[in-house]
Amino acid sequence: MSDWLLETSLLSKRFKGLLAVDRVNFHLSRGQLYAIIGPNGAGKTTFFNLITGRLSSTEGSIFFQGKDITNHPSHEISKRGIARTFQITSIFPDLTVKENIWMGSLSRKKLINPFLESSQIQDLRLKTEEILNLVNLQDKQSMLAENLSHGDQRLLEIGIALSTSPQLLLLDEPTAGMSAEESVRTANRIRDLSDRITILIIEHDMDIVMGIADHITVFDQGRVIAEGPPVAIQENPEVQEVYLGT
Amino acid sequence: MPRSRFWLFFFLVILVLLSLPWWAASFYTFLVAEIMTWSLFAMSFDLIYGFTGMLSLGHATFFGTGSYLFTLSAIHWQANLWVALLLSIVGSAIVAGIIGFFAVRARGTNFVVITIIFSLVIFYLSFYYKSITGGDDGLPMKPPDLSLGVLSFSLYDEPIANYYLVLVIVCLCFLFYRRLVSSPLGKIFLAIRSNEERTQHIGFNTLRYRLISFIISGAFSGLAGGLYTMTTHYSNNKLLHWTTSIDVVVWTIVGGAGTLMGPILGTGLFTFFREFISFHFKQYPIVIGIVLILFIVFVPQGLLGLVLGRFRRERS
Repeated sequence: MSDWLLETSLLSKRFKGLLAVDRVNFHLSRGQLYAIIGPNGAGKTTFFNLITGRLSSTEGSIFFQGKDITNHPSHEISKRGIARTFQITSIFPDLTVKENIWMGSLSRKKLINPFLESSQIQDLRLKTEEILNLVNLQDKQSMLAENLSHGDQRLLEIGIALSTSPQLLLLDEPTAGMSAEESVRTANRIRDLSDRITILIIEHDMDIVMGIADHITVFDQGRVIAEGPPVAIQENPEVQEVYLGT
Repeated sequence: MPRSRFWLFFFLVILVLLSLPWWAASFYTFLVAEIMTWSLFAMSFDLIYGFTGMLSLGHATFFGTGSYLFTLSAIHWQANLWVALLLSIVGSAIVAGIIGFFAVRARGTNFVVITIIFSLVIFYLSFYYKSITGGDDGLPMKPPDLSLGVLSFSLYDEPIANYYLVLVIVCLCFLFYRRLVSSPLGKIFLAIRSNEERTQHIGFNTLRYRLISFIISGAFSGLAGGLYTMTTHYSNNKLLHWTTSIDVVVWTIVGGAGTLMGPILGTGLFTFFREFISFHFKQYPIVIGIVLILFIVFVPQGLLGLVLGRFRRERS
C-alpha cells in the first residue's frame, strides 16, 4: 500500500474530441500545501472534478489513503475525507451562515434521531461555533448566506468544507473575484489552515501561489508538465515558456 | 414565527375548529372537514416542493390511491377504520416508492414530466379497470364505524364524529410535519432545495433523501385521500386526474411554499372560493389561472411568505 494521501494513476478525461486530462500521474502526502497552476483550459478544474466524483474518468485510477475511489459518487468521496470548494461559489444561499456550517457538521453524524430538533444536537453546535470562529464569520452567523459579500461567501464555502472534518481540502481559485486586500487575508487564512489539514489549491494569482505553496504542479493541455517546490517551478524553462509566456 | 406566538396561534385555531360544529351550519362543518383533508394533501405536497425543491405535477396519484384503497378495503374486505386508513398510507407510500425510484433520478423539467406521465398512466388505468374503480361514476361507500374502546360512532350517520376525527388526525399530521421540517432530516431536505450539488459534496446521498421526502409526502397524501373519502363517502377517478395535481400546486404557491401553514391557507381560500363563486361563475378556473400567474409574478413567496417576510424585516 502506498503512503500517499492522494494518488492518481494515468488519469484521463475525454470530452468528445477534447482530452481535458491526459494520463495524469499525481500524488500528494499529508500535511503540506500543494498548488496546481496552469493557463485557462489546462484541465485543472476537470482534474478536481474527477477527484471529487463530479465527473467520471475515461481512464485511470484515483486512490485516497490507498483505497480506490475512482468514479465513486461525490457523497462517498466526501465521507472518505475529501472536501472541496468550487470556482463559482457554492453555498446554501437561503440558509443562514450558521446553518450552512451546521449542515457540513451534520453530514458527519452517524446516527441522528430524525425527529430531534436541530438546535438540540449539542456537539454539532460546538463544532459549528468552532468553524465560524475559524473562518471569522461568527458576527454574521444569523445572516442569510446570500446577503454576505463575495469575499465572505468564499470564506463561508471554505467553512462548509471544513465542517465536514476533511483530511484533504481542495480549493478551486479561492481568491477569485476578491479585492487585493481580501485575497491576502484569505491566503493567510489558507496558510494557517494548512497546519491542520492537507490542502490542494488551484490558483491563478502567482504571488499567492508562490507565497503559500510548499509544492506546485503545473498543468498544460491536460498534462502535468512540471512539479516541485515554488523556486524550482519559477526557474523551470518549460513552465516559463508555456505558462508564464517568457 | 417565535415558538410562543406559534402555540398561541395554534391553540386559538384549534379552539375555533373545536367549537365550529356548535355554532356553524352543518354545511360549513362538512366544508371545513373537506378543507382539512385537502390541507393535509397540500402540506404533503409542500414537503417535496417547498422544502425539498421537487415540483411534482402528478401528486393526485397518491391522493387518489389513498382514496381508492380506503374505499376498496371497506367495500370488499370490510376493513375496520384504522386498517383502511393504514392501507391508504402504506399503499400510497409503496406507489410513491415505485414512482419516486425513477422520478428522483431526474431533475427539473424531466422530474416534472416523469411525475405527469406516471399520473396519466394511473389515471387511464383507472378508466380501463372501471369495474374496480367505478371510473367517472366513482364508487360510493359507507365508511367503517369509529370504535374507541366501548364507544362506537357511525361516521356515516354522525358527520360531527367524522369532523372531529379528521381534525385530530390532520392536527397530529401538522405537528408531525412541523417537527420533521425542523429536524436534521428536514434540514437536509432544505439543503437539497437550496443547493443539491453542495449537499452531495458535503456527504449526503441526495438521491436517497429525495426519495425519502417523496415517499413521506406520498404516504401522507394517501392518508389525505383516505380521510377525504371518509368524509365525502365516495371515490372517483377525478381524484387521480392531473387537474387535482394542479390544484394542490396552486394552493401551495398562493399560500406560500415552504411554510407548511401557507398551503393550509391557500387550500382554505381556494376551496371557499370554489364553493361560493363556482355557482355563479362557471369559468372560475380561468380566474384561478389568472390568480396563479399574478402570484408567481408579483408574490412568488405566497401570502404567508409575504407576511412572514414583513414580520422578519420588522424584527431585524
